[in-house]
Amino acid sequence: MNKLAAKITDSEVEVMRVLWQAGGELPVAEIRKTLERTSKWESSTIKTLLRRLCEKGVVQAAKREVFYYKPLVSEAEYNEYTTQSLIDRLYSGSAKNLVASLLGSKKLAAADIEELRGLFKVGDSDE
Amino acid sequence: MNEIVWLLLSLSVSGSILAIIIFAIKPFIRHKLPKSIQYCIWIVVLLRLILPISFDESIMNQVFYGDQATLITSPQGEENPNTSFIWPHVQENVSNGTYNNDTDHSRYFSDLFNQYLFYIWLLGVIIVLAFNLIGYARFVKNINQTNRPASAEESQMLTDLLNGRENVQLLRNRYAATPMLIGILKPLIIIPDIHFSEKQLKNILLHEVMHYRRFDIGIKWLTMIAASLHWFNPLMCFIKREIDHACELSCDEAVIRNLDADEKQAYGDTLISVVADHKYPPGALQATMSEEKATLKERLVAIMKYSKKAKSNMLISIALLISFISGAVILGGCVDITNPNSNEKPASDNVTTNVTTMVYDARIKNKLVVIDPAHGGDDFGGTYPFDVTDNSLVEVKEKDLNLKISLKLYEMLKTSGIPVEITRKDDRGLSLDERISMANEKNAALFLNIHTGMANDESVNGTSTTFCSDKNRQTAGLTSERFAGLLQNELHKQLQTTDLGVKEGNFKVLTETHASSAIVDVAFISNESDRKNLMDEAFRDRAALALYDGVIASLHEMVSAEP
Repeated sequence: MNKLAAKITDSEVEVMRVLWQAGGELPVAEIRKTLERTSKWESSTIKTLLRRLCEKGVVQAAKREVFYYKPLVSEAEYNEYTTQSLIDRLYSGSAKNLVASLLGSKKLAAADIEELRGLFKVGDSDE
Repeated sequence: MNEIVWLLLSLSVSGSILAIIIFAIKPFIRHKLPKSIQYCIWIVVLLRLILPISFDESIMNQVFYGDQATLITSPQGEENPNTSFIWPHVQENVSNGTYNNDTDHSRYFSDLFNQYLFYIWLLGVIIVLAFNLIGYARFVKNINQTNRPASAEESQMLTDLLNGRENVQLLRNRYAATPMLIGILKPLIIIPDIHFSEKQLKNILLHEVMHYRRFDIGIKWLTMIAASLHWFNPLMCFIKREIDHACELSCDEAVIRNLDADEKQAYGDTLISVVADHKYPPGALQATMSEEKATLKERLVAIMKYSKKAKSNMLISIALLISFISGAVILGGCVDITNPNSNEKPASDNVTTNVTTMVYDARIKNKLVVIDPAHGGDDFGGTYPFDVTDNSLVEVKEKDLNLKISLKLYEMLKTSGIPVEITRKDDRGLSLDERISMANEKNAALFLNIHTGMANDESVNGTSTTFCSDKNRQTAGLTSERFAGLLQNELHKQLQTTDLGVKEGNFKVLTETHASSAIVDVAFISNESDRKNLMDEAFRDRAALALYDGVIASLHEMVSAEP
C-alpha cells in the first residue's frame, strides 16, 4: 500500500481528502462541490486529477448512471507513508551523523544478500 | 578576528596532513592492526582539527608566522601588540581615496575579502551547524512521537547487558530503518518494530551497548563540530566517512572479541538479516547501494578474519599511535590569539617583549626601507617649552623627537629581518640632497621621512601623512599615495590622535627620491596636548609600532604585486 501512497502528489491529496471524508465512493459532482468551497480549481482540473489517480491505481472508478470514485489507499496508510518518508529523509539528511546505527538505512537487493550470506562463514580455527 | 581564521586554517592544514598520511598507509595497516587502533588514530586527527593547543616551535607556527617574525617593542600602554598584522580597513581607505588611482578594483576587493574573511567563515559555520542541528532535532522529535516501549523481556535483556544499570531506554519504532543509539544525556536504543529472534536482538543490543560504552555518540558530535568548523576543507567529508567507518569496524571488533565461532557467525548473520529485511517496498530507499554493500562486506570480512592479534602487532600499533599523537602535537596550529606573550608584563620599563607577528611573505625581506629623521644638528626644527613634573622647564626640540621615533622604528624593522637604513643615527645635520641621494644610491623601496607638525595656531593638532602625486607612477607595485594611506591608517588607528588624513605636497624629499615616499607628521609639537604625547615614551613607541605596521603592510602589497 505504501507503494501506492508514494504516488500521490500534494494536489491529488486534496482530492483524496474529500474521498476519505466521505468514507466511501463519491460521484464527480459531489467531489467538485466540496472542492469548490476549499479551492479555486476548475472542474476540468478536478477531472484531470481524478483521471491521474485512477491511472495510478490509487482511486477506482465505477460507472453506474455517472462515474463513482472510490479510494484504494486509506488515510491512515497515506499518513503512515508521509511519516515514514519524513523520518527517512531526516535520517539520511543530517541525523545519521549524530546517531550510532547498526547499519545504514538502505536495504540491499536479494541477490546482494545471497552473495553476502554465501561469503560469510566463520571458520573454527581462527582462535 | 582574522587570527581566528588563521588559527582554523592552520588546524585544517595540520589535520589534513595527518589524514593524508593515514590514507596513504591505510592499505598496509587495515587488515594487520586492530580496528580499535585505527579508530584511535582517527580520533587523534579529530582532536587536532578541534583543539587549538600548540607550542611556539610547532610547524604551523613557523609556517604561518615566519621564523624571524619577532619585533621588539616596549610594551608600555600597548594593549594589543598583535595588531601588527595588517588587515587594511577598507572604509578608511575609501574615504582616504587610497583606491582612487587603481585601474582595476582587485585590490579593493581583496582588502574587502580580507576584512570580512572572519565573517564569511563564521557564516559558513553557522549555516552548517544549523543544518545539522535542526535536521537532528526534527528527526528526534518525529521519531520520539512514534516510539513505543519495548517489551519487559527485551528491556531486561538490555539491562543485563548493561550489568544491571538502567540508564539506557529501549524503544521500538516502526519507522526506524535500522537499530540505532541516540543521545548523550538520555541515551535511547531504538529498534525497528519488526520481529527479531532472541539471538538477533541480543546481537543488535550488544552492538549498540558497545557504542554506548565507548562514548561513540560523543565522537560523532565532535566529528560534526569539526566538520562545521572546517566546512571550507574539502577533505573533511572523507575524514568524516572514514571516522564513521572505523567506528563501526572497531565496535564490531569489540563485540566479537569474546565470542566463539558460532556466536560470531550469528552476529554476522544478524547484520545481514537486518539489512535484508524487506520492510519497505522497492522505491526511493532501495537505490543501488553499492557503497552500503561494500561497507557491510568489509565488516563481515573483518569479523571472519578476526583473530587475537600477535604481541608484535600490538607493539606496532602502540608505536604508530604514539607517533601520530606526537605528529599531531608537532604540527600544532598557529595559536597567536592564545599566545601568552601578549599579556606578559615586563619587569622594567626598558625590557622588550617578543611579539609574534605575521611576516608571511619572505620576499618583503628583499626590500630596503630608508628612514629619514627630519632636521638634526644645528637645524632644531621646532622648539617649544615643556613643563616637566618637577616644575623645571625643558626645551623640546623637534629633531630629537624625530630621531627617537625613527630609531625605534629602525630597530623594530631590523629585528624583523627587514633591510633598513637610517639617514642619521645621532644628532647631526644633513642636507636634503644628502638624504635623497642616500635613498636613491641604495635603491630604497620605501622612503619614510619622520616629522612632527608645527603651526602658528597652537590649537592645531593631529596626525597627517604627505605624499607627492607626480610620484604616482607604479613604483614597484605601490604608489606613494597608497604608502601614505597605509601609514596614516595605522597611525590614526593606533594613536587615536586627530586624523588629519593624507595630503599632497611637492616637497623635495618626495619629488626627488625614487622610492615610494611619504612624510609623516606624527603629531603637532606646537600643540600642548600633542606635545605632551610626544614627550611620552609610550606614545612614541606606539607611533613607531604603527609606522612599523604600515611599512610591513606596504611591503606586502609591494611584493604581492610582483609576479
